[in-house]
Amino acid sequence: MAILSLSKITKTYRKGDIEVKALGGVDLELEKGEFCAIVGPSGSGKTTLLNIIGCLDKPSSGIISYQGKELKILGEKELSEYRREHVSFIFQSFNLIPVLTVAENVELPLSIEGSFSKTQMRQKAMAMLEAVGIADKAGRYPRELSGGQEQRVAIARALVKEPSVVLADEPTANLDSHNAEEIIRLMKAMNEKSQTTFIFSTHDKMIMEEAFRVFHLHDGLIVKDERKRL
Amino acid sequence: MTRTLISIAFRNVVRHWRRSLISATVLTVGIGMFIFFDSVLAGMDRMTIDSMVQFNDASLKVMTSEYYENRRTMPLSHGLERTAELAAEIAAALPEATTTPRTPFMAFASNRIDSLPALGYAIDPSTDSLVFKLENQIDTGSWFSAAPEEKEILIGKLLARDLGLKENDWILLSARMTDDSLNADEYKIAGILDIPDMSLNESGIFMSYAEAKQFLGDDLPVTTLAVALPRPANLSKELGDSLASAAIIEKNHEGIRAVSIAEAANDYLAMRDMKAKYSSLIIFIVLLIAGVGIVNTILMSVYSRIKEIGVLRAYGMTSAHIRRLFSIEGLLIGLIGSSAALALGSLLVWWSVRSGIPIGDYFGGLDMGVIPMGDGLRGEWHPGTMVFGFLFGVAASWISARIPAAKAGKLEVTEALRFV
Repeated sequence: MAILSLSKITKTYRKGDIEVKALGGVDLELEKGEFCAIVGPSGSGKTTLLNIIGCLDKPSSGIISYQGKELKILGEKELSEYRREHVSFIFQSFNLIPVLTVAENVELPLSIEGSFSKTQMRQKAMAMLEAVGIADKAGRYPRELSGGQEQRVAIARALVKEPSVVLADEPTANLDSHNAEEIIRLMKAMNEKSQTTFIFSTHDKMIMEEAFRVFHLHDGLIVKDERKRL
Repeated sequence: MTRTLISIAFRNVVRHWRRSLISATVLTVGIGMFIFFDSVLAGMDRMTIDSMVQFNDASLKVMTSEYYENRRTMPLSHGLERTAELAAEIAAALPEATTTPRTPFMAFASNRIDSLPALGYAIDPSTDSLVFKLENQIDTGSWFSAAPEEKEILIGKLLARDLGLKENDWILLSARMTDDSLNADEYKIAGILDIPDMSLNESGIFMSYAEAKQFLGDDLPVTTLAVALPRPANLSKELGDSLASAAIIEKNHEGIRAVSIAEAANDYLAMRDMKAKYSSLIIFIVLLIAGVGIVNTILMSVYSRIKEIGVLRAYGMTSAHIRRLFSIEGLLIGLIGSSAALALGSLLVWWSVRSGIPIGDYFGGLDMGVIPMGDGLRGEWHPGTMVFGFLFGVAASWISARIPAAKAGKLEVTEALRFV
């Protein structure tokens, strides 16, 4: 069974009197452990699609299901719970919490989930920082890190709660090519190790090359579903 | 989760310490001043009532109903009958009470060049100290001697100063006698009294009943019987006890009016209440400014962290969590400001209790009427006000923070994440 299923998803925004159709009826199904990219020109609806998959935004119409359970009918509390337990995000500008240390930033999703002791949270955070090769910076604050290091922390934060799906919006856009390559390699390793589903919205050719599956989005529609490997 | 929220909130308060400090400082000044003013007002009440009880009005004063009606003109008529029996009956009804007679009269005091209006009192030197503290206020000279032929009187320090007189000088007094004829006589100033009650200090003259009868007439009546009751530390209780005792006396004696200190101080207490209302209004305005400051501080915090709010929501925090986060920030600023206010207020109260506020010096020896200012205005410790001020500051901050916190909670996640 598909872990995520989208059927005829549309999203329409109003900008003043003008109605903007961001998604025009998207159908897609994702399996557990997929490493896939959503590509397309600016304004094609990539971020909107990611937001809808992550339940940050609600579709205007259509059905989105997670493990067979329809998400549209859930209230705010249940959607927060879905995000808390099953989904993680990696952002283009990292978005670490500036007043928390690296370790505390990684602990944050566990703290929000609320089922771990302080010691357990610290152990899990340190293990994840070890995995992304930045354990020595655990006590530092985000302002003391480089962009590449910050994105590693963001990846550690996204993976620490062992989510089913990681949604990454242009994760390499603010990095130089060397750091971007490192980050892609890291995410791919994590994907292989934990079988976490990764979905990127990206313009980055490196990600497109590494992705097993690429959705080509144009004017709010998936025009091509490119499966490179099974 | 709560620990994480507190940790983030605390660190943001510290991180933006300048704006946090400004809001906390306004709160500190507002609450600190509230604590201090309340202490000063309580001290003023205590000093005023002390002065009235100790020098003029006692715990209560007993007089005939007719005298009560005319008391403002201090007539030498409508006196009490069977004063000794009345005193004994009061002592029987109120076992801890002590009594002394007093007959006030209007007079003029002169140094033979200038003449000033004076407030005379015929007193019983042997029992006066059982009720009043006049004997402790001798500045120069001495209390009445045992020899009545000496024609001794005691006068207030300011009256002596205004007439250029000192102890052992002779003073000319004139007054209407009981038969309404005018009499004048010379008296030797045995002692000068420095009385905290400014009106007595400026015009008070005290003579024994023996002297007063020679001066005003042999039939000089006892017009008032002053009664001292045990004085509890709590002012409200003292006023209540006085009222209750006055009621007992009036109930037991027909045609008698017992004027309690609560009644005698009525004008002062009404004036004090009005002052307290104005003070409260000023404090309220200061706290309103503090509240606006806190709203502004938290609002700035919300606007500078919109993206952070988006991330927290994306990771599963609900609107309620976000509201709580910013409410905690307001609460922390309130705790800091109110704690500092408690320290500032305590310091000012300690200073006023220990040293007294030299308010007379500030106002160039201004006559404050019944409020005794001689040794400076001393505050009083009011733990209840301190706790109230602290809790009020914290609660006001928390409530103020809820306005921007609600705004933060309403932010759409996608808009927050898009915010640059």
